[in-house]
Amino acid sequence: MKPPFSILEISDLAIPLPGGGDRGFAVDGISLSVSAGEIVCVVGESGSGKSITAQAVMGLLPKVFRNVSGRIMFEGKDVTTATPAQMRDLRGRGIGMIFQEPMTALNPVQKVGEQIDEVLRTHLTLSRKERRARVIAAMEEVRLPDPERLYHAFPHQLSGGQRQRVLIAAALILKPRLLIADEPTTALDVTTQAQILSQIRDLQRDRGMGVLFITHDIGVVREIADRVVVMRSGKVVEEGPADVVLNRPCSDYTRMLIDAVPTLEPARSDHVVTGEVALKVEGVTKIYHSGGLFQGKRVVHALQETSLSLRRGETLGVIGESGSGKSTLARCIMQLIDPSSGKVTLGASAGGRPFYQRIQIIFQDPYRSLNPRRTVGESIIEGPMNFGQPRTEAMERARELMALVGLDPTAVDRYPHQFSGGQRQRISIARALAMEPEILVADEAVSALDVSVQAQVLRLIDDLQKRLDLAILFITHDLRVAAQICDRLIVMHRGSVVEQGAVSSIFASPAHAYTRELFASIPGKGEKQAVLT
Amino acid sequence: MTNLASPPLASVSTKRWPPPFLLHPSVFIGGLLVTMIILVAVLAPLLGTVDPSRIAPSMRLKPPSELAWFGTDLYGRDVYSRAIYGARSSILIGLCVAAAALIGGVAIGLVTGYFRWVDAVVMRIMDGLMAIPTFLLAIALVSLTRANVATVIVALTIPEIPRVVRLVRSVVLTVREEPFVEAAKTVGTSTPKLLWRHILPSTTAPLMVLGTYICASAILIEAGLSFLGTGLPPEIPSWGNMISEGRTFFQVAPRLVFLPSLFLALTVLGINLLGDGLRDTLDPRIAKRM
Amino acid sequence: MLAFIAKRVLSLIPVIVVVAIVVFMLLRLSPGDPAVVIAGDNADAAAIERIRVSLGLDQPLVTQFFIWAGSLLQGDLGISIFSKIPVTDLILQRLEPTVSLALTTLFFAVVIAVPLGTIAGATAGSWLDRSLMLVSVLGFSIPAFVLGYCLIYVFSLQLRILPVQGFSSIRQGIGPFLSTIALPTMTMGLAYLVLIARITRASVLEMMGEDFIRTARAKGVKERIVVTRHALRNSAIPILTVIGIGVALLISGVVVIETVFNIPGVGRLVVDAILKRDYPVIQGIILMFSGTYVLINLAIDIGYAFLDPRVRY
Repeated sequence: MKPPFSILEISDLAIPLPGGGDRGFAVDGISLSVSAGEIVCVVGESGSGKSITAQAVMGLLPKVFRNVSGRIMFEGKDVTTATPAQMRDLRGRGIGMIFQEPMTALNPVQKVGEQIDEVLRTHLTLSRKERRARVIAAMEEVRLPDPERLYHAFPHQLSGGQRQRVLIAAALILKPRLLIADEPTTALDVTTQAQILSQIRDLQRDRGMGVLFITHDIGVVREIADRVVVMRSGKVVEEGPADVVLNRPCSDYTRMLIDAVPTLEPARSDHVVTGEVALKVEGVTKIYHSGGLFQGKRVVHALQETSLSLRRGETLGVIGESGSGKSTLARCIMQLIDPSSGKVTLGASAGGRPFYQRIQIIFQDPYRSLNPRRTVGESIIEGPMNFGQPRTEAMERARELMALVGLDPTAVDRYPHQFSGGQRQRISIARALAMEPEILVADEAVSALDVSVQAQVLRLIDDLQKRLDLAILFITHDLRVAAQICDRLIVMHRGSVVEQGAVSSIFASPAHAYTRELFASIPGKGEKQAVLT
Repeated sequence: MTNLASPPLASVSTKRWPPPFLLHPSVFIGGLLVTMIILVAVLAPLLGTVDPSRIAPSMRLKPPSELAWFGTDLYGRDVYSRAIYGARSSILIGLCVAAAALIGGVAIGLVTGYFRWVDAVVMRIMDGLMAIPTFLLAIALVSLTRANVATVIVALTIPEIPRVVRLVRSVVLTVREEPFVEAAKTVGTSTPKLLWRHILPSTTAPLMVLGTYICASAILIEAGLSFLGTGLPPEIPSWGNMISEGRTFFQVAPRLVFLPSLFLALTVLGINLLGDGLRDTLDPRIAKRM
Repeated sequence: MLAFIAKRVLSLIPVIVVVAIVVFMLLRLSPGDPAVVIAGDNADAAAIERIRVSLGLDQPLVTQFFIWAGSLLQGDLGISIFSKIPVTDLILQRLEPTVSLALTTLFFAVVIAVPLGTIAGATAGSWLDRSLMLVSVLGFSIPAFVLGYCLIYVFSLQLRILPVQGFSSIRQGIGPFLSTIALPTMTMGLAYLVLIARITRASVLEMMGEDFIRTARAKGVKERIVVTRHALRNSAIPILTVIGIGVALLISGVVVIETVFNIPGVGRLVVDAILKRDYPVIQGIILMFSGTYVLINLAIDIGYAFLDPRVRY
């Protein structure tokens, strides 16, 4: 199915990096095209140049990028040579764009209706009444509830999905021929992501517009793409129809990207846990009170009556979306916050070792979990030295740990900024292991990492568990990741556990409606359901 | 996990001279001006000066000459020498006030930022002190006693402390939520060590900048106090005193006002440039906190 | 909304209490016995004792504070030691020039600073931006009284187009009012202007990097409107905040500038009181200025709720 003509034709686009980094170009001579009525996914990991390409099409490149060469033809006209006035006219009318962070992409102090209306005010001369009617219609089209009321709402009063719908309404109100979507669902929960993706797909079919869809997620590509362009380090690695690229990739890089996406096949079906109980959580509840004298008091149940137990050698997955209480649970367990009620006990044994020698945590953000002013060696030995280990001995052990997590032992003298995100996460693991804990809590520990790096870190955690007989509480929002590493799962929703059981049985037959919704929302559910085009 | 991933060879050497921030134009010019003024203050006796307090009734209000390069004042004292010696009081007061306000503010700020129960009480007191305009509070405090260098320093320090406390507290409140602080907590680091090792270092850059601003502000306020006749006693040569005494003769001998004014403005300009430059080079986000 | 305002007003109570305590302590820490000072040089011991009792000075310190605070709440700031006139009356007599000067300065500074700062922020790195930043450092570094004398030298002594000193009430005609108030306004306004312009610039510059600016551009909105409707509009809170904080600058300015230009206002009154150590007057004026400062900032605080929907909750 080759669509009739190209709306967007990029040829030999090259965008030099400002100030010359380790490579010369952010975008290095790429060519791609988008035809009417098709969705082209540009997929790549961080630093591939995919977002820069999208910005170049809109003429919205940050000023630091200069000397752009090549051509970007939109409906036969080169946008790289267009005047600013021509570009302004094109934006919103000819090309619509939506972005990754729907919260920050909306003006916080302007009513959302007015923000959609701004497109009309900018491009058309219509009466106030006509504009309002069209805005309400556009809001209805993207299925925003109660548009008349929502028109006057401010962005902070909307949910993430609703905000993205407002942006879609604004981008599409003038029926542009091309929609550029730059990671539009990355910041959203998986159930919301599924809704937004199907909405983009529907609107695109209704209108026959072209869509240039930027993403890092092969699952999303599977869900939505007609054609795929794979980018790496500013170059196009591979392109072609979605079913060909996804099922019979011809480049190693594409194959690696696809293979790195965890499958929904539970990996530990035959793993038998025999260790004694290491961690017991009984009826832990966390309630936050807000407001006070004048507002009605608001009570937020961040966590309700949660219980779990964890054995040595076992990985227990805690699955949930934002606001499910999973991180509150981790912080209660780690004694970083006090639970309102309930208790956390560690298993007997281990001759009265202090709490923080027995349980350790790895945080989500690899860029903020190491003190930027201290060498990684100092970060690793801090704990052991707190408990009386002499410095030289602790440092010796730190080098061993660096090797254990797959890093150069001599790098203990370097500072965190000299390491990549994945390497920093390994250092965080080394820091946790330096305490020789029995229990490891991993709070979204691989969520911020590129998919190829994610796979490596997962393998490391898996490997370390076997060697050290660790009990691991693995908190994640991603069922695919959980399938790779967990023995059992608990599913959390709005502060409560809605389902728990062995991974294999939950994956085979999820009992709770919410769990089923989570499964249904996983983008590109396994290779079996290849996209039909 | 067989291959050893090696960190990229980032070319960040910790010992480069001169450090790049010194080459920032504001830091460079400001630093140069400040260094010169400090040298003038220290080397005052060697710079062709005479005793700045020597009264010579026969030499009243003489125009510039070989003997007195910028003429003499109402009491026949050498204007040039007084301006040079005036640098001493200004620099001394500026540095002492900045140091005292920083030390006091950091101590209070660290404690209030970290312990919530102290926070409520101390911050109300700080809010109250901040509600009294700095200059008025200083003027009222010096009016309590006979002004001398020490009392002026105390009077200028007290109104500045709340500013330091607020800054330190805001940094502490942000930093203590950082995962690396929580990580340190979960490896058993005690609270005093946590404050010293992980939180205090984050305050040094903004404090350096705030310190320069306090220094500049103290010099200006001291000059203002002296100008109004409520600051340093007239025997001590200070720029504010000179301007205050000179203003009566402003229409006949504007130099009596302009020479000390020039010194004063250049000193404050140098310090402010240094502060702005440090702010831009150390961490541009600092600006938001002040 | 009412709850929001009530909460803000209540949160001021501890601030006002602290101010009152500080000012009270200031008087009690002052050297010398107020009764002796008030009684004058020729008073006998009995007279001093009478005054002491009438002032409540024989009571414990805490009781004295409550007596003093009680009369304060009734608007009684005490009586000047020297002129024997109630402090409230003294202040009221001198209020007009000070208020006139503060308002003209506010107007002068805001009207110039906001547009200037906005343009500089939107065109960061341009020659306009660079020169504004340079002027702003100069503006912070020149003491108001030095600038005042420079302006007098140029406009009054050399060009002879404006009077050297003095004040003419607006009731005596707009011409004389403007000609006398022009130099003090410029003198006092420079530092204030520079402060507001800097914050405006910094805030607009920061907003220009926000995602919603990119969204507005992606809608095809004109750059001028992107800057005003989105960047400047979102900078309203920092700008208003600095205008409020800058009131402290105005108050310090008034004290010095009224001396430089010989304006018979409250600033001049407090300087005279300090030189004569007339403590009730000093106290009363500090309370008045602090109260003004707190109230203006309260108004601004409440204004936030109208400017930013996220503040209302």
